[in-house]
Amino acid sequence: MTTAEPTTPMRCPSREPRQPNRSVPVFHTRQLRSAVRVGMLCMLAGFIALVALIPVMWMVKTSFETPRFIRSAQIQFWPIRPTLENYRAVLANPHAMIARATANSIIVASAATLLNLAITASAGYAMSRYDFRGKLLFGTYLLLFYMIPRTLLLIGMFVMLAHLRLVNNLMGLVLAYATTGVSLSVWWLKGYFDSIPVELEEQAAIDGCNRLRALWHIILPLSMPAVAGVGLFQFVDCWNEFMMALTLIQSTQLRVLPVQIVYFMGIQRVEWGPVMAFSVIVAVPAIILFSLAQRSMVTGLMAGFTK
Amino acid sequence: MKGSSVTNRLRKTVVLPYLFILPAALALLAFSLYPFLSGVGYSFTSIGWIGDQVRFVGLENYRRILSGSVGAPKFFKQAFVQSIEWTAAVVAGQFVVGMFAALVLNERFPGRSVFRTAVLVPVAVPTVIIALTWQWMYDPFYGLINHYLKQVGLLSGPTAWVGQPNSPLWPLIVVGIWRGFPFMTVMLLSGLQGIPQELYEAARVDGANALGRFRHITLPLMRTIIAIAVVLHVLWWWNHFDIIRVIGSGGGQFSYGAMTLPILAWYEAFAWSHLARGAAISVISMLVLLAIMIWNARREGRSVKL
Repeated sequence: MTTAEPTTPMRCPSREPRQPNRSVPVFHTRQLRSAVRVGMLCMLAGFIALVALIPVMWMVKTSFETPRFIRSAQIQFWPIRPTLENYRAVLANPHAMIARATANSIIVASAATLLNLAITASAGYAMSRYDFRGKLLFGTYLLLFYMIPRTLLLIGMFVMLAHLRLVNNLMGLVLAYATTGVSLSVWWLKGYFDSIPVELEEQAAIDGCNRLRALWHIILPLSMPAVAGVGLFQFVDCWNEFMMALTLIQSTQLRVLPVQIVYFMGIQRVEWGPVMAFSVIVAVPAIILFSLAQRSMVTGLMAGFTK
Repeated sequence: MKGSSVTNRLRKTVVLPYLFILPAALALLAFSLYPFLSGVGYSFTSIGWIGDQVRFVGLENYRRILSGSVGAPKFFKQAFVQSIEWTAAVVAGQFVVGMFAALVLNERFPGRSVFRTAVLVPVAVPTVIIALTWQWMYDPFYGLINHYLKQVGLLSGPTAWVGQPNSPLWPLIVVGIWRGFPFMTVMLLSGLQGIPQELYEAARVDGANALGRFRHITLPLMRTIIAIAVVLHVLWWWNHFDIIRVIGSGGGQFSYGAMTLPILAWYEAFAWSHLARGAAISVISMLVLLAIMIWNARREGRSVKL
């Protein structure tokens, strides 16, 4: 290596000239080492994935297992004798009230999501496009919002909703959910609006289109990936929420899924099969919507970067 | 700057931005700021339940909580200690597991994207469902965990890890770590991807081993993102409710061995019908969290200056 140009100290001591000398053995050990490395990495990643997946696999397995084998000492991660018995039991059990609770969940989550989008889209737009007094204050409050303990918020909200006769009322839950998600929605949408060139509205203004119409006809259609992502996230959040639903709803008829399943578990104590079947029914929509939201978040951010 | 003429023109329309944020601002005032402030206010009153005559009692609730020995005040000290244990253990566990997962998933190997997706599964499942599933895994007779512990010889008979009034906190800590590590992984992974590979190459040439590269390149360069991730997770998990409420009190009774300040506040307010004292416990919980945050920020500030 040094024989080529011994007198030029400026030259970087690269390894390139060295390689031809002992190319064959180096190449082989290197290949071997990289194969071992990839094998190790796959094993470690597999282990991590297993840790992440085992409880979920166990839930699904139990839901398809007959009660006799649920209580057997034999442990395996696929049903010993697959059956739909647990699902039938949950759907037929009048105490499970799964249809009612699902309907309540869908109503509350959809209404809260739509309400949330309706109030945050314009706010996100204002945060993205305008300078105005109080912008910093508004933005800071959106961040500080996360510092407020949920229990404290809930106590104040409970008293307020009770005075408005909205406790034990799905409408109260809708209002609570729609507002707890405001912060995230506004920031997410603002970030996306930032990525859309302001020239579009400028052009529209020249064509005689006012800001409101520009927002509605130009910006919002362009922002569909972000709006969909925010909507999905809010929906899943409402679908999963437990503490407020547990506190603000008391009547059996109005319970949403997470609360209903905990009550069902209380009745059903010993039988884990039906409880896990119920769990799968509640978890599957959440997992699907979450993965959709995940994808649209990625594409949304990508669009933001490439603009 | 491009578009500045437009921004100038927009500035003239003073009313429009306020109209745009008005619905969101009103919603936040009515359903976030007002409940929060009124909640703080109730902690100085005698309100027990809806319809009670509300009387201002000053610091009476706080005095009772800090020195009382009946009801919720009896559990306050324990809840305080357990809150700190819970948050410290859960976030530390999430950090260790999350960092390990992030380091592995940052390397190049076939099937990496599949593994990255698999790691996200615990976040996608509703917390209540996770809590129930783990409760089933902790089942004393047929649960997965007891089964394996018996097989390894660590356990002889059926053991109820959770759901008893005096059940310990650590089984719930395991669930908290499991539930929260994927998000830690995602945040740390995004930080790892920002570190230029050339730095590692250079260190390798200088003969640094993997541990040295991690200590002298990865950790210092990830400093900010680690701080942000840890602070966010402390904030979330200090106030966590679902797992402790569902598993800890799975038997229907209050489990004092496995509760934290937010759980105690919720029970005092909504199960034992004393909204004012529940609010006071929440306020104390918030102040403790705030103190931890400030202490941490000052510590960070000092070490950055060095």
